[in-house]
Amino acid sequence: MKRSRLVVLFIITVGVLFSSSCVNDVDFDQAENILPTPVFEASLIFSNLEATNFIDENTQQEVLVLTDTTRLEYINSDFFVDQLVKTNLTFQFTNSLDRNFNVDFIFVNDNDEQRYLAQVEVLPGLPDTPIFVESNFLIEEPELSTFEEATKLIYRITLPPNTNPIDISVLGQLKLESKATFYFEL
Amino acid sequence: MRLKITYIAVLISVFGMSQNKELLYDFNDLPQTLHQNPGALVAFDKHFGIPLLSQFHLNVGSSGVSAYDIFKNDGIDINTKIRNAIFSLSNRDYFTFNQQLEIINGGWRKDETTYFSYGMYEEADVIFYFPKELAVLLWDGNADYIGQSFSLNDVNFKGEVISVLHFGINKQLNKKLTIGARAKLYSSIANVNSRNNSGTFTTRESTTGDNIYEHVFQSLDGKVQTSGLASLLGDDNSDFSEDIKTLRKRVLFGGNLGLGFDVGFTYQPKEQHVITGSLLDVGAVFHSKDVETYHLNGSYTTEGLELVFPPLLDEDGTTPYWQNLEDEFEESIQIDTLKNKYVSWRSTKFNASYRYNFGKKNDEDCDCYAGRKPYQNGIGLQLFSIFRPRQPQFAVTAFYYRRLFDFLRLKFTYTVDDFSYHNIGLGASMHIGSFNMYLMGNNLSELQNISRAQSVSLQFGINLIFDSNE
Repeated sequence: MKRSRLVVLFIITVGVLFSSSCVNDVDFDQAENILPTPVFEASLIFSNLEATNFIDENTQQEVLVLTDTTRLEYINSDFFVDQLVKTNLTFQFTNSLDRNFNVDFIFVNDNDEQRYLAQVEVLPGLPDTPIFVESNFLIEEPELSTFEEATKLIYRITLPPNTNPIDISVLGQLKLESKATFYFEL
Repeated sequence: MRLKITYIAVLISVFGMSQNKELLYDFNDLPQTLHQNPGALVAFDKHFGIPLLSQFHLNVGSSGVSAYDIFKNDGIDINTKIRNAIFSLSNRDYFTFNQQLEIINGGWRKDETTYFSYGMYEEADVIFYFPKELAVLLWDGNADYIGQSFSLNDVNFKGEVISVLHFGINKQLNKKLTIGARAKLYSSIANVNSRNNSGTFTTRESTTGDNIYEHVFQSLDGKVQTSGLASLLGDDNSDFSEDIKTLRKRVLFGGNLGLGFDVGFTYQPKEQHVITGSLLDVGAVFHSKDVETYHLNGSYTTEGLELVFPPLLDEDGTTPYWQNLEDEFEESIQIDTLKNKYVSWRSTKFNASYRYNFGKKNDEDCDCYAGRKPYQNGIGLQLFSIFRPRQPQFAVTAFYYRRLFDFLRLKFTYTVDDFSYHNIGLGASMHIGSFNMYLMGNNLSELQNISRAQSVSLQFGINLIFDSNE
């Protein structure tokens, strides 16, 4: 009899001990607010053009416009469309050609419809004293959604009328370096 | 949302394991002690565990961070707390999970000095080292780390689910020495592991000067070995019952098989002094069925897309710069799926203890303690170690054992390990006739707020234990 009472007592004690464990002062609902916000920097395009690039082979005259195009598949990807909250495009020009340029970075969709346009004016420089131009383009909503429809980037250089056109023997380069900073919310 | 969960899973995630059973070790009243030391003193003549109920063991641990650190209600933004946790952890911190369920457990005495035991149990075991550099990269991005390398070396994890069939012999050689051994046949239900990974990812200022940055994937070499998963994940059938059938087959030794053993001893130089030691799960599983290894390797550096303005371009023509970049990347950095066989070693465990017994009861108590009158008290020290992929883990335990009212055996432990310096445990085993029930748990000091605990271990079970002397 005494023994069975002890057994019951023991079970109750152990039961209370193990069931009294609890979780205090914590709020697991905070998990809803978890929001990683990584910022990635990625190289974009680059190029280095010399005088010969601006001369038409047939006419040996300065061209009016020079363009090249690349696809940028990721801008339109699901990940970017869903998670990107803003982006900053940085274009750096180092111009040692004695010629000014109007540059357009045209982001277009597959139908070549413009989705975003970034314009930079590059002033003339000299081989010994190049001109450095940096332009930043911060793209946020509502522009961002349109930007994210782009699949291609057209780099277009326009040579405005000038009394001092590029000669094939001119020294110097027009150098472009660029990067994109992507701000994600995951 | 799913992405977010995956992301968080990578960052905070996953468990690892610690298999220390400091309460069960050297607890000679319970047949499960023979799983911790096949050379333990056997104080009974026959035992039979209630199928599926004879032992359930669960251990969850996190060496560097607790749920409380992340989720405490202190008004601080949870993202700040997670970031702080990421930076406070190192790649030596780990998360562990270990669970065991006895399916069958039994034993009988062959003669006065020999005891046989047998059984089968299921075990799930995971250890996941914190991939610190990858976590920083994923949480912060690379923008604030220009010029710094992120290493793949931090990626190290191992997970397995196996069933184990075993048979053990316990032999008392003389009054001072008892030895034992257990043979084990493993059947792997699923296995995944990744270690010895290397290579770095760096974003740095361009060394050629052609662009602002260059991105360098340097000598990437990473491997994830899996067995038993490809057929479950890869099959197109959504028929869950088919998968269950496959799993059941593997539990019953239709999976990848392995072999191993446990050995142990008890040495009593004098009646009151007891020294024990054991080595458990020395063995390996040989994976040849349903194996898939994913191997990532290569190096690649890019500064972005160079637009060259080709002079002889027709109106519509464009150079496939993007495609070229993708092609180069895929040629340089490859992910191969291999079907190689591989061997996974079990995590071998080492136990040792010293115990001093005192306080014999004077009345006509049972003579059941290995044929001797039992002492009422025992104090001692235990050492535990488990061999893990990065480094062995250690735990030291001081304990006090007490017999109370014949039917009750208690053990109090104080353990110091990677998880905590103040881990107090209590094990209680109740013996009424042949009926035995035990419950053991540690980190009792944290029970008031379990979320603070960095590890929790629980064992529970019901046995029938027969002793002809009782």
